Amino acid sequence: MKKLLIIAALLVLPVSAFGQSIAAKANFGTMGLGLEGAVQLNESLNARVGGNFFNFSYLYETGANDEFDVDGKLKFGMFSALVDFFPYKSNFRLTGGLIYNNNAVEIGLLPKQSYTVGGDTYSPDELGTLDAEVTFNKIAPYLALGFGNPFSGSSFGMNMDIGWIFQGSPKITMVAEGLLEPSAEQAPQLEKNMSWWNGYPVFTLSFYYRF
Amino acid sequence: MKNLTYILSAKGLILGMFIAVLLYLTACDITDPTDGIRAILNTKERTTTVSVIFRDSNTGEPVGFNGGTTVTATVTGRDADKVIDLLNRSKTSFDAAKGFLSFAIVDEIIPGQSQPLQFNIVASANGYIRTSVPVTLTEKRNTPIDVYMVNTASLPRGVQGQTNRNIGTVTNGRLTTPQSFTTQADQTTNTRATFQIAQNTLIRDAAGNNLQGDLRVDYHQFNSRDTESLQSFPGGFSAQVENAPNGAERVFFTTGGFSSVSIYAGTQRARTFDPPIQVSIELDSQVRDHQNNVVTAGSQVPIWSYNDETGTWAFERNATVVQGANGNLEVAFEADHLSWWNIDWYGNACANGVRVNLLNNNSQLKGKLLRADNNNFLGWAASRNLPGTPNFIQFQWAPTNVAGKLELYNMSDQLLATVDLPNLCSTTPVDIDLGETTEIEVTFRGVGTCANRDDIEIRPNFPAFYRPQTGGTWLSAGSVVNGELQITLPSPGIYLFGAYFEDDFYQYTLDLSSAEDGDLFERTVDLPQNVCNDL
Repeated sequence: MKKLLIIAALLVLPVSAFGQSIAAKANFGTMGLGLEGAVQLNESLNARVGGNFFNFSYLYETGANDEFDVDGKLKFGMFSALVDFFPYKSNFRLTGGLIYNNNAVEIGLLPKQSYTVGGDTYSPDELGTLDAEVTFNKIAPYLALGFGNPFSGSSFGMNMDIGWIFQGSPKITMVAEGLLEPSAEQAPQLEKNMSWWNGYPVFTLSFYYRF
Repeated sequence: MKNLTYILSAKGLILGMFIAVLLYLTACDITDPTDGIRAILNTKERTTTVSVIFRDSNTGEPVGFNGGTTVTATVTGRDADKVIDLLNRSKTSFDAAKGFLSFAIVDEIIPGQSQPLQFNIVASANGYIRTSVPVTLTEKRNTPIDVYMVNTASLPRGVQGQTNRNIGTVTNGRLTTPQSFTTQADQTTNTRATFQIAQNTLIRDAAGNNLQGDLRVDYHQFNSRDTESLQSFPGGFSAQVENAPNGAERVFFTTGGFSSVSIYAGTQRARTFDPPIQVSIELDSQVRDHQNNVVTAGSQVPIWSYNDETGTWAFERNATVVQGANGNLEVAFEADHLSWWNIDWYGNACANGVRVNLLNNNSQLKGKLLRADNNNFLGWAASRNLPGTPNFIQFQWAPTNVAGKLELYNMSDQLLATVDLPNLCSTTPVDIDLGETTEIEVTFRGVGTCANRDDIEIRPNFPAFYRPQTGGTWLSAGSVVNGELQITLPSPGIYLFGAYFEDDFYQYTLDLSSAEDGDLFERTVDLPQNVCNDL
């Protein structure tokens, strides 16, 4: 873990050559698990870069009479370049910057029933599968409020961010195989239905260590 | 002061940011992500389908299209057991809907030139003469079949006869009084047919049972000149035959006239007669044999009878042409059983007739094949469109050593061109350039829905039919594949589209007056309830 922190800190070393000190942060929250390196630019400004990752898969097996099982995958992959602004002589800060947003949500529908229409039997294998992948703008603005400053007080401590990623409306690709193949045509409709999901809430707790 | 301004502006910034996020969130119109999303399913596609239109010989319109009459179709013959309906159920007896029928062949069986599928479609309907058409499938595709049926209440040109005529009684199978019945003189050819049954003739049904009770007859004579009469020839002039003198199994007929007689007592249908019925048929003065020779008294002419269960003509005997009492030549023969009887000269037929390429045309055309020497009707064929080749017409089992000419009609029944075909069995294609057209290629997408399942949409596979709203006739439109039909229409206009499915005919009118090349038209249709119940 310490090695990872040092690697994150090394990310900001070029900047630190012009600053006073550097810190490494370990994050966890709605952006997943991540590492950051931070540098103090002056008394009111810090800069930090980092990455957050998280993968999660879950096969939701529905009831015996239901028509589909649902296979869900959450893939978080975000790189951030942020500036913390401390408007007061306190740990309260405003944060802004850009996120390289490689997040994706994958949902697969897996037919589980056979159907007989006339003399034709439609097995789950023949019906095929329907998969949807949800992605967002790769570059997304980020605004947040935060508490904590790794360059103030103890060299080890905790930070908190409450923010918002302006990720843009989701981009949806659908792929279907088998007899479900035309279902994939509905990606535009699904995109329209989910156009409201153009922001992503961020709540992050960080533990930092100042070198 | 400067510090206070700094603090206020910082607080304002924080407050503004909160308000912005709040407004941002509350401005969201959160929609259910699955709203309007359905499971869209292709259905299983039948590999080989047959589209049948049962046409009234008099009008060309589908039999019973306006209600009142239902054609019952039975598939018989060697490969009848390979017939299924569009939902993959083994089935050989169908009720056509409004004169239309579509069925299929078991998916795993792919017909080919070396493995043709053969069966026979037997068609009957109240008020129409029972007939049949033999079908040979040699390709995995949708094959259109026209079955021309004669409406006894509205006889087509060139057909004379009567239905439900009382011809005495039978007691224990024996006819109590001699009977003779004659058709009225045909208006085109001034010919008649006479049928005589001797007293005490033993009349039995197909099972060998004696008939009993009042005897009635339906009898009709078809002349050898009018197209409406000739297109009613059961199965077409390219025919499978048995016992042909030259040993052939497939011949091309040149008819001197043909007749249909049905005798029945109640529900019993007469099949055999002992002694035989005496049949006398007068010949058209213009009749020619297969080599276009003049027919004279003393000429020999083959007599054939038809088995509508197998679609096969059996050679019965040769008869001699004699000078008749009405000034016409006539042929007399004995018929010991009832069926279609046919005076026919014959020649060989080639499996693949000459191919006529229709350049600059992609819409469906009808080809009417005539003999070049006497303009007699030989048969109909529909144009085909294969990827990478021009639209074309090719007759199966065309007559050898016969010169023909092909009249090309569009789907509005307008004559576009006539093509001379000196050799109907030539292996060299004949090209005809039809010049500039107003054709449009459009795509139709038909999706099926169920009232009880709004989460499912079906993209069905089925054969379709179409016609212009005014003029023309219904034609096969080919197959709708996964809900889509791409088709070339002769010009913008209003068209009717239809499909036979589960004993019903579904018809839709589409105004394509403003349609342009490449347009897509979508239509949602309600699926039959029995299909919805299975989903």
